[in-house]
Amino acid sequence: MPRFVRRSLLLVDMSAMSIPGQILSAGCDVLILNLETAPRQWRSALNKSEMSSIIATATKSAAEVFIRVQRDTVDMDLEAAVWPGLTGIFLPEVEHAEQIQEVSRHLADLEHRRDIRGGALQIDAEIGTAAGVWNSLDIAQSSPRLAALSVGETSLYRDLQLDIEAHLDKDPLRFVKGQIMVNARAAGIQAQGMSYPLSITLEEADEPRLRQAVRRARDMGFKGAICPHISWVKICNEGFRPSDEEIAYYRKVRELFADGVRRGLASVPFEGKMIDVPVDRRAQAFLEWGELCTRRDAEKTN
Amino acid sequence: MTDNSTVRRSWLIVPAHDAEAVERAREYQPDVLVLDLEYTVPPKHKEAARAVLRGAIAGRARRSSEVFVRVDWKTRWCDIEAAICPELKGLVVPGPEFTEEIEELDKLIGDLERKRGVTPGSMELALILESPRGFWNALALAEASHRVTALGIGRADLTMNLGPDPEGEFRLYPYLMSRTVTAARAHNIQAIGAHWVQGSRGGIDNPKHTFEAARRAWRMGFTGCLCAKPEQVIPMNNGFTPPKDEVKKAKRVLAAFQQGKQTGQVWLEVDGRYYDTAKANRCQGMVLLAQACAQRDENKKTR
Amino acid sequence: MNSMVNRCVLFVPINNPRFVEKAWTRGADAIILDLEDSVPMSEKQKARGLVRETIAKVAKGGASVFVRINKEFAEADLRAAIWPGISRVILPKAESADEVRFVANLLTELEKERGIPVGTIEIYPLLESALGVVNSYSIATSSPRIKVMADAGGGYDTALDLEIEMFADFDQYAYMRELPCLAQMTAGVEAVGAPYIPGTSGRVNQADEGLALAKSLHDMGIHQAIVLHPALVEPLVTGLTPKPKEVKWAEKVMDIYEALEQKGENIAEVDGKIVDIYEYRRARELLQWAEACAAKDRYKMRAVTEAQSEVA
Repeated sequence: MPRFVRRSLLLVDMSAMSIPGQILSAGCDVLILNLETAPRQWRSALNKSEMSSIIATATKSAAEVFIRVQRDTVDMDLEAAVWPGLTGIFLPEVEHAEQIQEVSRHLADLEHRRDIRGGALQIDAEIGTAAGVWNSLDIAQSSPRLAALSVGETSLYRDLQLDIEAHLDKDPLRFVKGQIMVNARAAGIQAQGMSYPLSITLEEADEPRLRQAVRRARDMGFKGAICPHISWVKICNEGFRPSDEEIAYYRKVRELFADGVRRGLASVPFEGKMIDVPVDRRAQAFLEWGELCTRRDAEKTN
Repeated sequence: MTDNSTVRRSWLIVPAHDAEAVERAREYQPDVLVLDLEYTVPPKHKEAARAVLRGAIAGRARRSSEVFVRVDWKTRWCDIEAAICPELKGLVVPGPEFTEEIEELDKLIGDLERKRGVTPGSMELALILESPRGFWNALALAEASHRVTALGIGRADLTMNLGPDPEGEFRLYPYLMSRTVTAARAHNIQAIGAHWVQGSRGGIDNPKHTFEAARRAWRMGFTGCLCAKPEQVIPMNNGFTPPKDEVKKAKRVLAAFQQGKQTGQVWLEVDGRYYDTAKANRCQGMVLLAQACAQRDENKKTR
Repeated sequence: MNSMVNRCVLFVPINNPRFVEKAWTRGADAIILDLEDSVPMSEKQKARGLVRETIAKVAKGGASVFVRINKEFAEADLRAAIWPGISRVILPKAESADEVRFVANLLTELEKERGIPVGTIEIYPLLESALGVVNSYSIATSSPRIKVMADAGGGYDTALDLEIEMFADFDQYAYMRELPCLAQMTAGVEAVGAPYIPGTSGRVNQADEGLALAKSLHDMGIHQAIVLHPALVEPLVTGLTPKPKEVKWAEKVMDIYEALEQKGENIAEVDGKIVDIYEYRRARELLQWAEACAAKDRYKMRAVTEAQSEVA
C-alpha cells in the first residue's frame, strides 16, 4: 500500500518571489518550489522570513511542499530554503546512493538547527541519467527519508541522446521507466513518472492524450507524476486514482468473492474472468487506495 | 557520439583476405572500415587473412575511413598480434563476457603497442555484445578499460537465437538495445547497433530497411552500426545523421534561447512547443552532431 | 527425460475430484497439482492429504506430475507432497535465493527418505513481484535443481504486487519480462514465458487464443506454456511441436553446414536462405527438440493405451 497520495506534483517557477493564486488553487497534491529557476543571487540572499512566508503560503493550499534544488548548489539551496512547513526535498539527477546519504546528513543538521522534527524531511530522488538508472536500486534503498524515485524524462532524453521529437509508437524509455518503477517498489518506496513521451513537452497537451498518458503511467505502476503545467493537475489527480465506475466494479468483485468463499469456492466467475485470491486482494488494494485519495481530496476542499 | 566527437556512423565489414573486396569497400568511404578476421572469412582463408592484414590496413589509395580490425574471439590473441600497427585505429571485439577478458587484452595490446611504435594506450576497443552474459555485464564491460570507446549490440538475434514475437520484434532485442545504450552512456562512449526486426538477416539488409533500422536506432541513442554490404553505407550514414528539418528546428530553439537568456527566462515557447534548458541542451547536441557529420562527409570528398 | 518436454503444463485444483479424474485425458505433457491459489485456506490441509494418492491418477496419460506449494507453508506442503512420481516443485512468489535453498535442502532430505534419486526433483521458482524481478539472477543461480524459469510479466500476482490493472492496451510489463529473461539466460537456465500479445482478453479458455499463443511461442523459440484451462492444451502441444517440414529443413541445414566445414568454408545460400553457423546451431537445437517431443509423444501414447485397456 503506498504511503503517500502524491498524484500531481506541480512545479512552481520561483523566479518571482511569490506564488500565483492560480497555482495555489490548482488542487495539486504536492507543490514543488523550483529553485532551479530562481536566479543564483536571489537564492543565496533568501532569509528566513522570506522563505518561511513562501512555504506558509504554499501550505495554505493543502498541498505538501517540496523544494527542488539545483544539482550544483545543493548545499546552498538547502541552507536557503529548508524551514518548518516543508515536507521534503526534490533532488534532480541523482546518480549515487552517496548523494542521498550526504543530503540526508545535511537535512538532519538543518532539522536540528531549525526546529524541525528529526527525520521528518523526505527526499524524492529524480533519476535522470544512465548512471542513475544503473544505480537506481541502491539509491532507492539508501535512506529511510527516501519517499519516491522520479523519472527525469527530459534529462534522460538528453543523457541517452534520444531523439526529442519522439515520433515512435513505442516509448524508447519504456524499459528504463520499468526498471525505475520496479526498483522503487522492491525497495518499498513509490515511483513517479509518466509512461509516455508526453511529459517532455510542456504545452497544454490535449486532454484525451494526457488522460491516456496518465492512465498508462498508472497501469505501469506509477503513483503520480511531475506536472510541468497547471492543466495537468486535475487530470493526474483523477487519472492516478480509481474512477467511480472502477470503485463500483471492485466492490462487486469483493462481494462476489466473499460470497464464493462462504460457499467453499476458491474462485468465482465474473464477466468472463476468474476472481480468485489475488484478484480479490487487488480489488481490496484499489479500494483502499481510492479511499486514501478521497480523503486527500476532501482535505483540499476544507 | 563519443566525447571526442568522432563520427562513426557506418562500420563496413569486409573480409581481410580479399584484396579486391577491401579496395571496393574503401571506394564506398564508410566512416569506419572494419577488416574482418571473423564471420566473413572462411576458416580455410584465416591464415592468409592474418598474413596480409597489416598491408591491408595501411592500404594504398583513399584514406577517408578509419580502420578497425574485427578479431575472431576464439583466436583473438593471434588475431591481435597480426593486427596491431600504427595505421590501425582499433579492434572490434565480438563476444566478450567478463571484465578480466578485456583486462587481458588490454595488456596484450599494450605490449604490442610498445613493440611496434604505436602510441601507448591509443588502440581503441569496440566491444560487441553477443551473449546473455555479455549483456548482463554490459556496464562493467563498458568500463573495463579506457580503450573501450564503443559498445555494440551486434546481431544478438542470431548469436542468441532470438525468434520474432507477435509484433515482429526479435525476442528480448529491444530491451538489449536499451541496455546497451544505458551502459554506453553511463561511460560516455558510443553505442553502436541498429533496430533490426523480423525479416532482416545478419548485417546485410536492403538500403530501405537499413536506413529505417539505423534511423530508429538513432532515435534511441545509437550513433553507428556494423554492416556487411557496401550498399548499406550510405543509408546507414543517413540514418545516423540528424534529419535536416529537425536540425533547423533545433537551431531556432537555440537562437530563441540565446535571446531568452538575456531576459532571464528559462522556459521558452518556440513554434508552439515549450523548451527548457535540458531540451535546449539536447538541441545543441543534435546541432553539433549534424555539424560533425557534415564535416566528416566534406572531408571524404577531398580524399 | 520424461520431464524435459513440457509443451503444455495444466494446472489442476487438487481438491476438485471431477477435474482430477479427467486430468489424464487432456493430453497435457505435465500436470500441476495445486496447493496454492486454487485451494481455499479452509481446504489446504485436506488438499495436502490428497497429493500422494493423486499422483498416479493424473500420470495415467504419460504426463509428468508437478506440485505447486504455498510459500508460507512450504515445509508442511513438501512433507505431504513429495512422493515418487513428483518431478518438479513450483515455488510461487519467489523473492530470494535463500527461499529456494530452503526448499532444495528439504527436497534432498525427502528424496533420501522416500526412495527418490537424490537431486532429481526440479524447482521452478515463480517470479510474481518487484522484489522477485530485482533478485532474478540470484534466484536463477541459487540451485542446480532450477532448469527452467519464467519471467514476471502479466500474472495476477504480479499485478497485485504492483497494484496495477491487468490487460491494459499496451505492454505494461516490458521490464518485468525482459530483465528476468536475460538473468535466466545468463544463468544457463531455460527462459520461458509469454510475449506481450496485443488485445489479449484475459479470458482463460479461448482455444483460438491458444493457437495464437502457440505460434508466437514457437516462433520465439519458447518451448513451454502453463495453462489453467484444458481447452488450451491441444493447440499448445501441437503448436509447440516442430512440423515435419521444419525438421526436414533442419536436417538439410545440418548436412550442408557439415559439408561446408569439411571444405573450410562457413557460409552458403540454399533455396534463397542463408546457411551459416547460426542456422546450424538453430537447426541442431530444433532437431534435438523434435526428437525429445517425439519421445514424449510415444511415451504418452503407450501410457494412454495401457490406461484405456485397464478401463476395458
